[in-house]
Amino acid sequence: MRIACFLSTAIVLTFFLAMGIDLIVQGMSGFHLGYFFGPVLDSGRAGGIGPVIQSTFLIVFLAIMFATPMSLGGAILSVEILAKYPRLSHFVRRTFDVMVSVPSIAVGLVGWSLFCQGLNLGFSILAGSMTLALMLAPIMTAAFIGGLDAVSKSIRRESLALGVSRWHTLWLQVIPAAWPALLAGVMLALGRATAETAALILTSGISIHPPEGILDPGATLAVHMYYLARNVPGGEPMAYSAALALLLINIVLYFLLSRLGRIVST
Amino acid sequence: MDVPLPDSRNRTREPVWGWIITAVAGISGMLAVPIIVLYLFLSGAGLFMENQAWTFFSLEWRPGDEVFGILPLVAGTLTTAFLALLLAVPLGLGTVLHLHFFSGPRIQRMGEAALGILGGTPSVVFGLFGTVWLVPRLGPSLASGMLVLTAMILPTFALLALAALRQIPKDLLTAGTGLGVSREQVVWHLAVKTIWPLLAAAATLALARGLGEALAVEMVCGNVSGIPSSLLQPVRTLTTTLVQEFEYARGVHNQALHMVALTVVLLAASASTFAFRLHARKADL
Repeated sequence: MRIACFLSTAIVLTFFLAMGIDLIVQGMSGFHLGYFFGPVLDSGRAGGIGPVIQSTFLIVFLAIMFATPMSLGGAILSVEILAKYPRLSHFVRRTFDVMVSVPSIAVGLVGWSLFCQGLNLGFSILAGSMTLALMLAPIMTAAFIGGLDAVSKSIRRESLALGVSRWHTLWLQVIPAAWPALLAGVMLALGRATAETAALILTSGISIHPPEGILDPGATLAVHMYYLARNVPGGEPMAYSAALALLLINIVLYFLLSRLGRIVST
Repeated sequence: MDVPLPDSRNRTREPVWGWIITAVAGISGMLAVPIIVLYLFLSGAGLFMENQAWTFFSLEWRPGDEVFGILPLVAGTLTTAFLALLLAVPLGLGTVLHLHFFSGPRIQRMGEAALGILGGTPSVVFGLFGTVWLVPRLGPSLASGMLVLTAMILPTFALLALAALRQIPKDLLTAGTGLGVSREQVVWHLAVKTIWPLLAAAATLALARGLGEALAVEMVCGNVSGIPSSLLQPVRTLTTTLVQEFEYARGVHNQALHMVALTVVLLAASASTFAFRLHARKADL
């Protein structure tokens, strides 16, 4: 059994290592000075990813802005307000756990019907970020619930015993104590948002021009990579570069998150 | 002695508006997904009104002729996802057992970091490898789709399984070793058998992720509708159909796509509900 375990580890690591090396070797060829800021040329076969980075920032930032209040509200609702009704609170939590796994493509289709067509926004950064926010909300809420739950009950009791209102206990004691976990939830959402493609390709569309406003279409880096690999003949070398850039972002996010995780656990 | 007193008038009173705003924000966040499901149902239900119910359960998906049989798409989704799971679970389980029980702390930490980074890698990156490595050899086929999906869900499964292994009480393992049982037997009979519901839950969650994946599969699976009879045949799934047809679908076709999306949601949600059921069985570990 030991040997079987070793073999499977060897297979898995070899494969992923091969992917990593391939990605670095082929991806580096597209990197050049100004790759991250230069314009997209020849439908993506040359040039940089400047406009794509702009759209990515806009979409991800707006989505997090939309999703954070909803998620924080949802977490406060289920941890602080519904605490008196343990069964309801339990049910709400389980529902959030399940909602996390709703496929993003389905969220994307609803975004397309509701925002792009219903609100007549068309393929736009605004529609994309609203759709993304719908997708991120359950993920962030589940993370926030975990964070608020982890704050010891005694902090709440002591604060309430001193006559402080529940509201001020929440905002002055509980949330400051939970902030690393809350931040970790936001980072998690950030990671999911940069990796997301299905929900966005249906709503924010594809564009290689710098967005002039939030009603313009815009592709995030992941969508751009998909587009290069799938729809641009001869786009694969640049798709590799985009994938390498995605991997770098992902590695940075991973280490920030594990740092935060260590703060949370101490 | 001067003890600074808090401004008691402010901090003992509940700001009703604050609570209302919080509750409204929270309720809107909670309702996001139920509204999505309801919307999909309402927009898709028209399909059944227009006497199209029979076509929904037929064996062909031909939007041109207004025949929207969903079964081949469901078959495509289930075969790719289950085949991927069949590969990912043994490999992933072997890897995490090796990392957790049979290797030194340094390898363990490196392995965990590698899995963590892979788990967050955008699925389209795996799709890119599929296009470059697999499609030239296996063609756009079920096999390519399955392998891409395997690479995608293996880290998901492995990370969850690793979290499960960490929950095994240390005494259990020490007790086993103390009784003179070999390391391998401790791992298999004590560790794996104790937490198997958690491992099954991890596998089911990975499956849920596989069922819902769209673009990575779409890049390599060929997108030809039909019930696949061999690994090298092209295949079409629920999600890839959505990607390819959403933009030009009108009328009944549009309704059918909403039903397709609803089916994906229901498949993934039932997998994940099942996973949390399994998980709850071992909550007292």
